[in-house]
Amino acid sequence: MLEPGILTIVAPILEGWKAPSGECLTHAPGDTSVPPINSLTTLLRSQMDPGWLSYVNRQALPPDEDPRDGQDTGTRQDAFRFGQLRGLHCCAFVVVPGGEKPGFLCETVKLEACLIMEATFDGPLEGFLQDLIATHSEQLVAIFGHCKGFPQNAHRHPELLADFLTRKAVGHSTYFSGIPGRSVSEIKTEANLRRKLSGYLETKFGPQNASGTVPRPHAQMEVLQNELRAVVRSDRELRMAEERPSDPWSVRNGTKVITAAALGLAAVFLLMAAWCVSATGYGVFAILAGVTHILFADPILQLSAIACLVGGWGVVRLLRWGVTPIAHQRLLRGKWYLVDEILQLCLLGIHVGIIAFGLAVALTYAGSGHVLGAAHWSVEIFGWIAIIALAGFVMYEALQIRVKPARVVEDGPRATLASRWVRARNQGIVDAMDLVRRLWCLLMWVPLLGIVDVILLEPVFGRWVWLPMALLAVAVTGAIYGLVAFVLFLGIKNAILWFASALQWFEMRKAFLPAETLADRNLGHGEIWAREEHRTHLNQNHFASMTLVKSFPRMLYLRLALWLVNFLARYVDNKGKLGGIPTIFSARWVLLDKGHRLIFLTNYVGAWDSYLGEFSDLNAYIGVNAIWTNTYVPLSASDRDKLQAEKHHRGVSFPSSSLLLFKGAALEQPFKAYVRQSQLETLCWYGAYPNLSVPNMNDNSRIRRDLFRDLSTPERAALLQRI
Amino acid sequence: MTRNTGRKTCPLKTCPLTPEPVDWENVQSLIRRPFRHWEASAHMILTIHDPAKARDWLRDELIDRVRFANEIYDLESPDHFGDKAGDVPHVAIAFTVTGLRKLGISEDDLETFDPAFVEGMAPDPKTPDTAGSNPIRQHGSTRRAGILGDLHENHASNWTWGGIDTLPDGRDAPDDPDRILCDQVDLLLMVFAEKDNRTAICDFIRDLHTTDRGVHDPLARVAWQRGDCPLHHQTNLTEREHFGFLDGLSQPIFPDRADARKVSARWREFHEVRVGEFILGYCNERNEMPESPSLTPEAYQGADLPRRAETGGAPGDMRLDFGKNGTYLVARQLHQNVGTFDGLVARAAELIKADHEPAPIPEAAGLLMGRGLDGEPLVPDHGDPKDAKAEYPTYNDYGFHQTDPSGLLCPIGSHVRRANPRDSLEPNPDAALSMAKQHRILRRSRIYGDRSKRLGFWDEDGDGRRRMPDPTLSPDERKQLRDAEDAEERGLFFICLNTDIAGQFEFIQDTWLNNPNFGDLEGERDAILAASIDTKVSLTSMPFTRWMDRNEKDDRGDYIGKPVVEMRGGAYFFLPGRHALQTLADASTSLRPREPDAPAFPIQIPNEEPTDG
Repeated sequence: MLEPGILTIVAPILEGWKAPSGECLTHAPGDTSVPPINSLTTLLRSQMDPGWLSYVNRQALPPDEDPRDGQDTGTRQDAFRFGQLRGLHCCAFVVVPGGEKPGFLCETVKLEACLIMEATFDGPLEGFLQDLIATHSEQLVAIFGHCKGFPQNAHRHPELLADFLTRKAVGHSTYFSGIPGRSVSEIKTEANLRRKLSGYLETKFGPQNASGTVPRPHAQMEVLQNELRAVVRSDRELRMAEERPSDPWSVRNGTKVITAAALGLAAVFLLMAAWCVSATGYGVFAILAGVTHILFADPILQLSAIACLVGGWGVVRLLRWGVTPIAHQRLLRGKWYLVDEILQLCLLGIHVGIIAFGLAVALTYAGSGHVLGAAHWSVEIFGWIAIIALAGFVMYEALQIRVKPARVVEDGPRATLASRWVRARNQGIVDAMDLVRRLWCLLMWVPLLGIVDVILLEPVFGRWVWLPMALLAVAVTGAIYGLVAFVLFLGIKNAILWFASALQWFEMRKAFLPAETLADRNLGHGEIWAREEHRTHLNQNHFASMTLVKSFPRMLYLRLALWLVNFLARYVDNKGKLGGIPTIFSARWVLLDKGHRLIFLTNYVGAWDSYLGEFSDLNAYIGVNAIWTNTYVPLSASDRDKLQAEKHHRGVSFPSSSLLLFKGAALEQPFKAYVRQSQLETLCWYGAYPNLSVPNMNDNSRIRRDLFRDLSTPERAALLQRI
Repeated sequence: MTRNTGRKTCPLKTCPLTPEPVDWENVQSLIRRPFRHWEASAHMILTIHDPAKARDWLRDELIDRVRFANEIYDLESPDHFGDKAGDVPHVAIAFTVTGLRKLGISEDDLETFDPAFVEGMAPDPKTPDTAGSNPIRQHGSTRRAGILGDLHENHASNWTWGGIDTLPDGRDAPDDPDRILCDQVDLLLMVFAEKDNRTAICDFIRDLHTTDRGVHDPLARVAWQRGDCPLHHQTNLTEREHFGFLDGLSQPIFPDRADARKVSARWREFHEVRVGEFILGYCNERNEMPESPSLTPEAYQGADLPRRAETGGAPGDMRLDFGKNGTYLVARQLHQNVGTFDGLVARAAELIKADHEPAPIPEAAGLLMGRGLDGEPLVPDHGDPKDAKAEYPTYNDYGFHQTDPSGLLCPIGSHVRRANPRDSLEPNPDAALSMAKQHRILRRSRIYGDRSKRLGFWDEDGDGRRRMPDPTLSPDERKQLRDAEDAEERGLFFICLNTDIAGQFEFIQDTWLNNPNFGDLEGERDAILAASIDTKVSLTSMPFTRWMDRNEKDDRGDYIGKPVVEMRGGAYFFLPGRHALQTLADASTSLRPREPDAPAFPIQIPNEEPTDG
């Protein structure tokens, strides 16, 4: 299956309308009263697909009509009939108000009012546009005729129209799809498949045919699976389900891409570490030589090194004894645990160093009485102690990774993809921690190997003894570089975050009202709340929001965050959930005006409140923070009065986040107030699946996938349960 | 603007990790306990026609009768007020947004209240908006109806009180003198007395109708003139609701020592919820302060209210915290169609019965409800029954995740599992439980109307044994019986308390109860709350029979398409704390003139005694 086609058209609307509150743009719906926009909004509101009127346009039909698939109740011929476009998943029109925004250097950035059309469809863009223009050229001319640069005689020359739309199509900065790689017909067939299979099972085991009991043994279930396959094969409508669904490239190769990216990142940091180490004057070869020297040095030195290491290790273990990382975290909250840890380890290092120093000096005196040599050895020992400290640090970092409890019912009927993923991830973390521990042990026993070399290796290897020793030396050197790289990574990461938070604190004081003020006072709640949902009893919803981007350094952060989230959405969270949220059908972020405005458009399942609640309760809040913390919403003049905004306040900032990643969206009420304030009215919207939720669609896909596979007994039970 | 305060710094709300002590002496005791020993009660919907007089009445008489939570002197046997009780009925009092408006709270201050509360349970689409004729505003009414599931026969234009007079299609509803619209509902007065002291309540009501207190009861005006006490004035606290189920079992408990020491650690794990979910001014489960309404300090000088800066607002915020120790109260009068439920259960029992065995009626009822008739959980994962003390009659410390993740024992779509999914939702049990705790409510429901003597599962006055449907009746007789029982006025006066209406009550109603796609289901409705056009109701998650079609007639020809529960009225109220109540009563600002359409007093009351329920 191809990647889904994603189209976002942004077309500036004709002049004749400007922000009512001169200094600052606003998007209170009451303000959009000047001709072009007004007529456009009215037009768009009337352009709803008649088949969808009952769901979306609540003025036109009673609200208590339930959505039915394929229903077409409309009589108007001039309105959009989205249902005619075969490959269309969803489509929406939003009008973004224009205005002004202070730029980086006291200049003013003019923002134009825009009409945005969002569409997700199957197949290539050209084909979709062709279809669209062939069936709806009149409506398109009527709508986009309000826009700047619209060709005068587009109604006669469809190629001009196509050209206009293609020119106005912008990309997206970030896109997520909850059902990657499924076409409209596949989703509908899969839903049909499940319905028919469950109908078949119902007649077979239902009350009318009471003798049928639910099959439990393996063989019976296999027979049943074959029966179900036969049902599919005999049904012309379901034929398509027989084919094995193919995932898009990004889903199939997600793990590979992520692994490659991680390796690349590691390589970068290793290079940086190499550079750092060489900057101190010791190149790779110098370190190799040092390590080899220690390995080949006197047994006395090696004995003392072992004593230090074992002693240090023992002390670390004693310190850690009974102190689980979680309890430790409870003891010291926030970032202080790191500082505390480093201090502790330094202390430990000093103690061990003093002991080692004494030991070395004593040993030296006992041996030869050579003072200079003793000093040299003690320096060497200090080097080892530094390694102990570093290794302890790594160990601690590894312990900080908290393993989430795996789902208890592991092979039960509902071992979902998600639970398998959690299990795999937990296993991965456990493995990684094991690896760290093993490296640690290896490092500890290196000097012992030195002794072994003296006593055993020479007799065994003879004159090839340099080979194992050289390998060992290379391994130890590699470990040293790895540790340096890791420390560099931690340092750079924290430096960036601390810099960001300092910046944020400074900026917040200067230019913005905190979102908490919005939560305290609900501005014009009636109108704003009414934008929340376009539904009654409808499973799917549309949400659009516009925010302004903070100036210079934050703009760059925003781009980085958008790129990262896009990357993760494409290669990691590509199995139906974005940051743990299972209800997103599609989500896209689009930057407008060279990055001065950020538009967020999403199709989701369920209620506004629960959707936004998931944003703040699940892990997704980190990604949301990374993006939206770089934005603010402007205020209208009356709202400024109510919130007692001062002149220098540009608007209301996103809820204050810490390190640009935490808090923020996790503060539920300020977050919801901010989102409410930034939300735009969706003027016209169509979605192809009024009755299906995203988890339903993914369940149905799984049924289709599993039905024609050889399954184990629990998997088979899970398949039947899902039906 | 003059009242610019120090909002330049970022007001980070701080929440201590340990639960802070609750200021019980200023909290209405309804929040802490359901008045279990005060079984007789009345729930009155009052209209204020003379704010000045109403304020006097509030200050001089009513406040003394309001019980505060510190007066519960013995927590081990709850609700005993001991000597303080006296023989006067006790009251709890809550206001709607119109009530607060009439008592002088300005529009500016009302904006700080919960937006759902300000909009109301049934927003009137005709109310002019501040922005004038904005078409979006008109969606507010239908939007909330959609969230709450108040559609079809439950639409607000059909309510007895608290509704609107606009049909769903925008036309005017036919005039009905008995209907009390949302703008007439100002005040909810709950009066409680001991079981054998119903006369005290009747005297109280009579007094309210014979003396002009500035308030009147529009529902009662109609009913008293007809010669009877309106049914919803006489509510009862009983163990079982009309269908025969033990009710009010699963309540959240406060992390207050006195409350929490009575139950096991496992129980606390499931039900201990931070006070801020139910009382304003304390930290909630998200470790935040719930948004609390506040008043302009200039207009309420001398009011004994804390400043917002002291109660979790921005540092330097000098507005008066009106919400501290109060909460929002949701009231819904739900008519119960006992006959329809009986038919639904009979049909469900037919569907799940095994070969040649009698239809398992109580089991079917349990599957629809999600708990047994005696409140027993359908999953085996419950603790030691010895943990359950007197106040908690059956065990409640069970989850679904370990024993029943796919709903084989307790159907995913059953009413109780939907209303509190505990640890069963995505992504993992711990997160699910902590997220479920963010949406808990305190329930303070009572029933009204007489118990059915012919249908239902519990015979209270008889031998107290479970009653089965009479198999000797003919289909016609059964149908007549069911219709007759449906027509009886009886039901549940549902009341719940929460600090965030949209995040708690409405969330449960919309995202869990009325959600056809709840927990990976597809298009199923809650059997108890489904409207008549919802045919596909959840029955069981046993393999292959997940739902039943309500419109299919069973072999006796019963039609069970009617809704089991119907709305009769409802509104969102604010239940103030002691100081807020005093502020309302004392406020000398912006006194409003007498309403022009106020009724003449005293209202004519017939001579005969009201029927004593």
